[in-house]
Amino acid sequence: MKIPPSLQAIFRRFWDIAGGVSVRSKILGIVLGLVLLLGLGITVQVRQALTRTMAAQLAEQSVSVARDLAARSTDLILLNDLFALHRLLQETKANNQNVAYAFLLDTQGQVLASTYGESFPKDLLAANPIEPTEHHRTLILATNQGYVWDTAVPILQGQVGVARVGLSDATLRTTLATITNQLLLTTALVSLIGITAATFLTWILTRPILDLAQAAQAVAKGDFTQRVKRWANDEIGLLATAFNQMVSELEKADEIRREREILRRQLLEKVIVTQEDERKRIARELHDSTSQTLTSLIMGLKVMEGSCADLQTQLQARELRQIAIQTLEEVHDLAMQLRPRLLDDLGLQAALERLVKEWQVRHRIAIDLMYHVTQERLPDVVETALYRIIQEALTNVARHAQARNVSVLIEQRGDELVAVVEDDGIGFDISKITIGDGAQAHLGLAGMQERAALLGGTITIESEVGRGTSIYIQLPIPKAVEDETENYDFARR
Amino acid sequence: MKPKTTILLADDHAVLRAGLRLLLSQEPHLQVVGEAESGIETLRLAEELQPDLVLLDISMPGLNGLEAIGMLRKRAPKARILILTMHDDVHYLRQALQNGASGYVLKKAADVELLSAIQAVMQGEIYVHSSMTRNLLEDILPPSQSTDLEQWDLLSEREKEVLRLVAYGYTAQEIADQLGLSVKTIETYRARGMEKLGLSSRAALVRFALSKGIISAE
Amino acid sequence: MNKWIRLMVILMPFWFLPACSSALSLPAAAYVNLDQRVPLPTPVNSAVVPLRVAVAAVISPQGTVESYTQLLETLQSRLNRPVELVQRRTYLEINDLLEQGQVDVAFVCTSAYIAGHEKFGMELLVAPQVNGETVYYSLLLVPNDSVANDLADLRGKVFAFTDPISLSGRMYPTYLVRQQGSTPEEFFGRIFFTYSHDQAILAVANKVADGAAVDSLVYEFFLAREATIGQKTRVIHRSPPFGIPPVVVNPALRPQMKLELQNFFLSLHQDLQGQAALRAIGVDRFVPIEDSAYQSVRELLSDLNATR
Repeated sequence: MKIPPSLQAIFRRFWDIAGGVSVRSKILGIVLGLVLLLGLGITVQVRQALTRTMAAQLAEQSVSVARDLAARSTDLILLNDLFALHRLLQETKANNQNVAYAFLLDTQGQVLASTYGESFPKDLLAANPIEPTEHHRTLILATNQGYVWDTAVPILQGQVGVARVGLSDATLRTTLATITNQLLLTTALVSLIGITAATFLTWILTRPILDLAQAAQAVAKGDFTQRVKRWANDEIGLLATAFNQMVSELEKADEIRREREILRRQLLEKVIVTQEDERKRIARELHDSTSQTLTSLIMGLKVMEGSCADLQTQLQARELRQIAIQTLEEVHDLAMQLRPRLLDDLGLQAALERLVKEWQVRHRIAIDLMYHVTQERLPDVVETALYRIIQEALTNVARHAQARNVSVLIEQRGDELVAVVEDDGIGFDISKITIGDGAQAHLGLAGMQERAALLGGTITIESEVGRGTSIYIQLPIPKAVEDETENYDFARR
Repeated sequence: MKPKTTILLADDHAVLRAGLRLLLSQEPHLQVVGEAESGIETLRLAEELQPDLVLLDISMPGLNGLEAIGMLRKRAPKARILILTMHDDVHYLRQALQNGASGYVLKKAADVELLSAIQAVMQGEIYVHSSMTRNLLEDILPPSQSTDLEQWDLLSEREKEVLRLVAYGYTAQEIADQLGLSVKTIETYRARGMEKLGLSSRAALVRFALSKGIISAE
Repeated sequence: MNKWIRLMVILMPFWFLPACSSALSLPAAAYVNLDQRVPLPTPVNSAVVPLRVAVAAVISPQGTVESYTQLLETLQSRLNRPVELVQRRTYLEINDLLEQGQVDVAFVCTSAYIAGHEKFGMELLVAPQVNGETVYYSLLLVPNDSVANDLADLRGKVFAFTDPISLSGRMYPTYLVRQQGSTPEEFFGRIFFTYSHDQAILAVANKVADGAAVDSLVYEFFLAREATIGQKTRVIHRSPPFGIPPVVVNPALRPQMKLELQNFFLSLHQDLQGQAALRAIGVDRFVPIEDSAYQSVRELLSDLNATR
């Protein structure tokens, strides 16, 4: 069966609204709805049944009263005992609270006596005509006082007259009203109970659910110690157990992740340390053996040059000496780049000044260095890390920035070291950094961030296309020199 | 005959010492009287031999050459100390001279300069390798101050605030958060301020600020 | 807050229900406004004045209607004039009606005739003949199983009279009691009036009364219809014959009418319809009668009055 789209839209809208209310409202709505439906249904049914029954009863009663009246009035009419007739009518009315009126007609249809006294309702006479041959005739009349069951009974087969009795619906209506009110009251009472029950039920249901929601939120924020209480052994209890299990698993996974992270860090440290060691070793080698040897060679060749008579040999010696000198320079530069002795011997400031100077010459870009740290020397790890980071930053500037001016600032701010490498180059879009415009740049930055992170510091990059780049390095300074225990220790000689 | 100048060679590199010896042996008035391989040995031999000149390599194992200079002066007061080193860095040079060295020769130029350096030093002069002279001079001469304090006062309050924070090394976002402004606004203030002061870099700003006492030296 | 508003809205139908509670809907045949009253119309005198025939309360009113309807219908068709049956509770009332001219002709009790004749000149018209006689008796009845054999046995018992001035139903038994030297009030344990002879018979038959005095005509008529009465009652005394209750007219009745009526009654037995009517009232025929027929009764009654 295809549902027309307009109807579908209505369903959807209804579901949006209905589904959006709280669980409590839903349950409340259902309970209340049912109770009301039941209550109203019962009320209507009972009223109908009651009306039917009482109407039938009234009809019967009117017949019986009329017949009784007919029988008792026969002689009195025949004897023309008007007073007794009146008394009879009054008695009839008095004995039955339902009797609205009673009157007797003679064979001509004239009123012999009635409960109305001297006047008589205009249309009442003709309302229920009866043939003498009929046993009785009951009609329901609508009057200004309600409904009336009017029965006409011929007296002595119509030879004497007709007795008429009218029973009103007053008691019927009263009873009906009473019953209706009672039923409605009961319904209202039950509704209240229903509301209470629903509220209680909701509380039972939603309490654990809300707990779960809260715990889930906490877990999302990273708190894996969350466990929920198992309120009951029902489906929700199942959920609670499953949730707790899940969080346990997450906790374990987090544990593992942490450990892995620590291992990774440790590995990274090790890598860096090893790298530095390696560089140091190579630099040292180059510096110590290779340079020295070359120097010796140079000196020897100088001597040879001086002491040689043969001009050709002299020239050759000079040439060799030049080559040796050039080689020495190159070796020196290489060693310098690998690991400046300056850093170990004279500290960060000296090393940076050297680095900056060399860089400026090499790349022909103006670079302004401001080193303002009151402490004479910083811990080895800090100095090395900062040196490497700034070295990397400057490499990037040289490679990508197309800058004209570069500024390097190192200063102390409270108990942390702040370094800023700033250029006025072309800048880059920071948001694109994750996409990675080449593994090189990405790794370089990652390396810087790792070095900083290993020491508990941070790297912040601010850049705008066309406006240049600023790299902010922030490293905490350990309190005492003894703090630097770990592998990350390039012992000074 | 002029007495020979006694020289103590202090270098941990045997090959180099051999080369030096060779070089020095060309000069008749120079005589190598001892060779040390470490700082401590240098001190010992110096004290013992009391040479006229010590050719000292800075980077020897054990005692640092730079540190040794001071101790040497004590143990062998009359000895002149000529630093012979790979390090062509002005910092070493400065330190060496400060510690009491009489000269600084780079190994890479040792072949041509060593002899003249020795001569100069023995004559009581200070010898510094020519390529390093400019570096030294650069250090002595202070950089020009092109900004005056009065120009600082010409800045607006906002500009001063921003520049102060820039000098302290805060990121533009941090400054923006602190002052409750947008990053763009901060950039504008900074650019304007820097322009008014005629400064072109953050380092220069810090220098200026420190010198004028605008930011505190910690 | 929102929740309470919603609750109110949901419960709104409730507020309307009490209003509906009194609303009924039934199939009514017509609408009548009971408060719109009009004064009852005074009975219009029809153009034609009916002949009013009264029948004394010898038997029950319904019984009278049953018995006399045929006769009156015959009379009506014979006279070609509407005939109206009038009944009253007591003999005296009928007498009064006759005297006032509100009734034209009446079947009265013997004692009623005597009183009426004396008072205002009630005139005899005809008399019924039953069993060839124009007399009747007062019978003393007791329940069939009663041990009483005559009036003396009924001392201290419950006795039923009929009409206060009934000859057979009151006067005669009182006379008998007087002859015992007592009054009914003293003699009987309890007395009550039934105002009709068939009620008195029934009272005895049902042992409501220990004894009663009834009109013999009624008793026989009753026996003819209800055989069980005979099983339940016993006659212990029969009075001397009294003049039979006559048909009388008021003295102011037009002689022409009186003659017509007389002719009617006297010729009634001559056709089938009339015979049927006569059978209904337990009469053979109607015959003329003279006042002298009631003399014995007159004397009895004056005796009674004298000894009062």
